[in-house]
Amino acid sequence: MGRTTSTARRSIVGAFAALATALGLLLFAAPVAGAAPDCNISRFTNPDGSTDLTGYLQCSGPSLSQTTVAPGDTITFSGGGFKGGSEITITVYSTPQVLGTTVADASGNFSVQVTLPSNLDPGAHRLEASGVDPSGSPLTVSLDFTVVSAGQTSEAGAVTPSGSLPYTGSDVGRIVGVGLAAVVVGGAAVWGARRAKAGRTAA
Amino acid sequence: MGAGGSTPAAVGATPRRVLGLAARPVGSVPVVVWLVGLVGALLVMGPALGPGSLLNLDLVVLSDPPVPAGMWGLGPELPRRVPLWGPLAWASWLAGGELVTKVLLVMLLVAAFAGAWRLTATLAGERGHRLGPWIAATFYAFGPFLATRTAVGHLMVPWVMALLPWAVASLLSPVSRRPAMVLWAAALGLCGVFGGVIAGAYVAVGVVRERSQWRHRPRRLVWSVALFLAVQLPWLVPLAVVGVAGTGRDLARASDFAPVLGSAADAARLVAGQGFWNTGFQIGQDLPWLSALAGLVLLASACLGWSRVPQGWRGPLGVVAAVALAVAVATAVPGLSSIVDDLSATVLGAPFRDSQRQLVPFLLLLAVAAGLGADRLATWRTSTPIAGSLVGIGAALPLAAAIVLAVPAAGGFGGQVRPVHLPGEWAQAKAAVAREPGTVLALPWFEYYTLDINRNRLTLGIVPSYFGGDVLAASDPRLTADRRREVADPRLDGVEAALERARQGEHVADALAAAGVRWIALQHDVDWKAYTGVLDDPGLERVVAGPSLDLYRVDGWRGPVAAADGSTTDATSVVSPLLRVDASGAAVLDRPYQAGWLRGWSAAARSADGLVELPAGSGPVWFWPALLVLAGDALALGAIGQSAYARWSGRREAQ
Repeated sequence: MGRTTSTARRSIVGAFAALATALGLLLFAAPVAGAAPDCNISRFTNPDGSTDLTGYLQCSGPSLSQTTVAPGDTITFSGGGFKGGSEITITVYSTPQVLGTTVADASGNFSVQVTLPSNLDPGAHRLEASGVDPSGSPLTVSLDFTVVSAGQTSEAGAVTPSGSLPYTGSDVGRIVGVGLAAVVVGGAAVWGARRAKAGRTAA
Repeated sequence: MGAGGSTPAAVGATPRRVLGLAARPVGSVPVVVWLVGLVGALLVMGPALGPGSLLNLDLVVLSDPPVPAGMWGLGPELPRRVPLWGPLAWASWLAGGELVTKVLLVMLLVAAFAGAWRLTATLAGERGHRLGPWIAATFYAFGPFLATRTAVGHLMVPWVMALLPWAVASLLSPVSRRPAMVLWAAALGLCGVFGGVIAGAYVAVGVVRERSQWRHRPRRLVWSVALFLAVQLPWLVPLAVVGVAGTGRDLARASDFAPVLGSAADAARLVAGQGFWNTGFQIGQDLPWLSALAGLVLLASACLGWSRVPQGWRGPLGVVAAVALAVAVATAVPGLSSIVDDLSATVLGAPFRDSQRQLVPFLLLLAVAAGLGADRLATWRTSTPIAGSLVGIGAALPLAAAIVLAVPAAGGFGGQVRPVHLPGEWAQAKAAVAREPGTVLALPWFEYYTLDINRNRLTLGIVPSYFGGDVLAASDPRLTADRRREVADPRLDGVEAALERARQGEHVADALAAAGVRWIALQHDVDWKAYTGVLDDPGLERVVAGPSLDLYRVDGWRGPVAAADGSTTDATSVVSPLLRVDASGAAVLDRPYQAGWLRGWSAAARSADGLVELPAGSGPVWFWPALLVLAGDALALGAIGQSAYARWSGRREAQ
């Protein structure tokens, strides 16, 4: 019994030492990375002024510092793909309101702070940057965001911009339930097997 | 051994020993394991099993997939899918590409499940419990890694993960089990560089493991390595041929595909098999903390199970897994990340740029060790019933973790993949192109865009795969704000310039004809209305019109082989790299230029528009490096034949 206890203790200590080492290595690497590309769907404005529902992949493309905001909030809107040094107009939709203009840097990228109108209704809205691409063709990049009543923006982390790639998934509660059920059933099975084995040994 | 299977002796054969353990024959995997694997695979595939095409990021499963040009060493795209996609295309002629691919995916998921079960049961030996193999199999085959990679169409991943658990013992014994090693290495190499390199990693470690044989059997060692390399030639030679001809101007790099690893929780999720760079496609992404917790539970269980991994396996499996993990997170290590980035911009490095994909050997070891850890807990002696219950629950936790990670994949890969029915105009357009074959220009000019016909999901442009043959399509994946071009197609400069003019409203039919374009397939997505110069060009005839696609014929197309004076010559393609062309003066062939084209024995040149400019003369027009590819294929077949015979005769002697 004493030998078993000692072996068990050694095993636990060894296992958790290995676990701590592995986690430590990963934690060392983790904060340095964070470099996964930020990908979104960008859309074009057609010559007739309409925007097609379909869009193209653009990584390290337009981004918003917050995707769930309150009316009157100031957020940072960044993007690229424009002609270097060209003027870019920032507009908020659904009801178009020009928020201002900025100038693309030499690489065609921009980053601008915009203050949202205080009369935006709660719900989905879109922020657009319009200008020209390096060939002089019209280019619009846009991102969707959600306006909530003041005081509700702390939920921002739970909201995905609809301008991002499709977000798929399942019901968390159901999965937790399945997991707990698996623990109970598995635990019972193991316990039963151990009792049966103990019974056979005793016999 | 308590894992529910019969022992090797029970099936009548002499028990073979692999790395010190009795090998578990395929037949010893209980039927229930195959059935559970099948049910799981059907649940994961779900609605995706219905009739129709499957489209999701890189997943482009269509009824009639083309044989990849890379099978012959023809570019301009790096041949990443050869040779497996060749036989797949051939099989599709018999049963349709959609059915063939769906059946293959189910089979691969089932094989991955049964393989992980069998490997864990083998390593558990007599001390094993019933629990461990099920945990390993569930996590390995239905976890977020394999589900996500399969959902986004990286079919080399399910191919490798299905074969690896069955192959690993032979790969780690390259000298003593040479015939089996060669056959498994050939099977893994079928999916191209990804499988070939993973097989190579295990074989390299196996060579070191069997170093005692170096002195006594040096010839056998050399022969083993030579045969291994020979069976990799079907992907190695095309890669070299296209690589020598030149790749894209600015290939995307490892940093463009960096795994999501920005926090400690991300690290735990990476362990669980998540971290795919394009987070919108990561299955289980909406369960961040649960996934991280499940990853930690499995890691803890694997640490407990490490001592149960038999001595002869621990080192080899551990080394390959550690290298795989290091490669996967290399983009995160200061100093190393820039080296990895530079390496990934080369022909040989490009296949490794999506570094998270290299996790496979790590996940295999994690799955097996986590299963063994649960086994260890389940058989832990305790002094009180309460302690026994707690230990029992602890042993079941890894099973719960595996199930929690697997559940989000159910129902068509978490709802990502649903059958798509292409509207009727697609078939009409394909038939029109088949009647009058020629280069197709695919618009809109994006490589990845959302398709209205595919629930507005992001997809690789499907025109190249749908029409087959020579299709000019955008090759900038737009992974950075800077424009990049992944394919070294010499026609792109002229075509992109023409498209820019078309956006300004200019008519560009003549310019497209000069680039050898005979058809324009204009999908009604993204900026399709912006090509105003195409929409009303009198030099273009709209022959098919539909709600999702228009097909335009370029009236000024000059013919397959056109001379400067406007005269044309007939050309008949025997196979892609060989054409019968009538004798003529100097003329331009409507194929993208690549070094290696000959007319008879005279080298072709590159035309101003990036096409193949044939010298005056007669004789077949052929791409001579295809002979190197054929020679490589022949050598590989020879090595496979020799190894299959050696294995068959060895088994007969053993009996």
